[in-house]
Amino acid sequence: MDDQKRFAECAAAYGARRELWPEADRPLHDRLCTTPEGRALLAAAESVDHFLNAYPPAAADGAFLASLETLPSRQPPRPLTPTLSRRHKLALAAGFAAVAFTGFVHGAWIEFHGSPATSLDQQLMFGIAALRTQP
Amino acid sequence: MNDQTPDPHDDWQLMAAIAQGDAAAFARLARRHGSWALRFAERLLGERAMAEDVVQQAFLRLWEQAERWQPQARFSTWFYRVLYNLVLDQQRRQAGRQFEPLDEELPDGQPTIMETLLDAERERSVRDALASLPERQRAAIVLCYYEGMSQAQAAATLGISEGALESLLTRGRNALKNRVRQHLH
Repeated sequence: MDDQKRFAECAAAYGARRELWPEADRPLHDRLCTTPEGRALLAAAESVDHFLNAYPPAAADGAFLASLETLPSRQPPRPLTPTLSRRHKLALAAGFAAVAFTGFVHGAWIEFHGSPATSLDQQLMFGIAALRTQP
Repeated sequence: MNDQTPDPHDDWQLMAAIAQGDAAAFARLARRHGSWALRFAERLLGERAMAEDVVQQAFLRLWEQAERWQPQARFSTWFYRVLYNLVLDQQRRQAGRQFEPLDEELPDGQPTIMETLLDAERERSVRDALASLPERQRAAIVLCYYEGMSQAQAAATLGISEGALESLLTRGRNALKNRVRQHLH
């Protein structure tokens, strides 16, 4: 790329200060900053830099920093057990679903036969058949 | 980049201690990074009270989620990103909020007071100009100009390429240049 063009691009994007330019472009800054075109581009960039420099936020006050440092003491204690992973949550949900299904089948069996099932096999076959007959 | 440039490995060690619930390590990290975090948030939000809220939320998140932190990048790069995302959340919440105009009445008086008022006026012009920029342009300028971040770090914080960062900076600074012209004329 044309050096002059790249110099103008860098001045427009990063301003006049060499240390804010990309490292690879700093030699270009050194080379062209004293040329008339370079000086003009840097002066235009400097007007924006100067404008930006008029906004120095005040330093953080001690009370605020102290309140940050004591943040943990103002929080409820963290749980001792680690947070469940996605896989654990899925396994837990599957377990709950299986228990719910078994309960449903057991209730339906009693409703249909008037007495509890004598074996788990019998009950499961009944449940599967009931699901198949669903519209 | 920051007021203090701590050894990143030291930050990692502090984070590991925080993950074990070490409040003293947390206090040390907060002392080390609290000031620049506040300055960064204030420049993006243009208001101290909101910036303090955001910084507090960020440190709270750090305390609560330290166990999940992976030392893949510098702590500060990661924390800039946390802050930036919280600032965006805050701005979305604040969208449409009307700000009360500052009291325009100037007290008669001492040159020192006049100087202070002029400084405040200049500062407010910059704050307003920054606030008028699209959020990504503003963030690019704050990261690169004020925070002095390298292009690679700033691009990583914003989740964009270095080319896109340069384009944001150029557009942002062009808009500011127009504001400067208006300000001068």
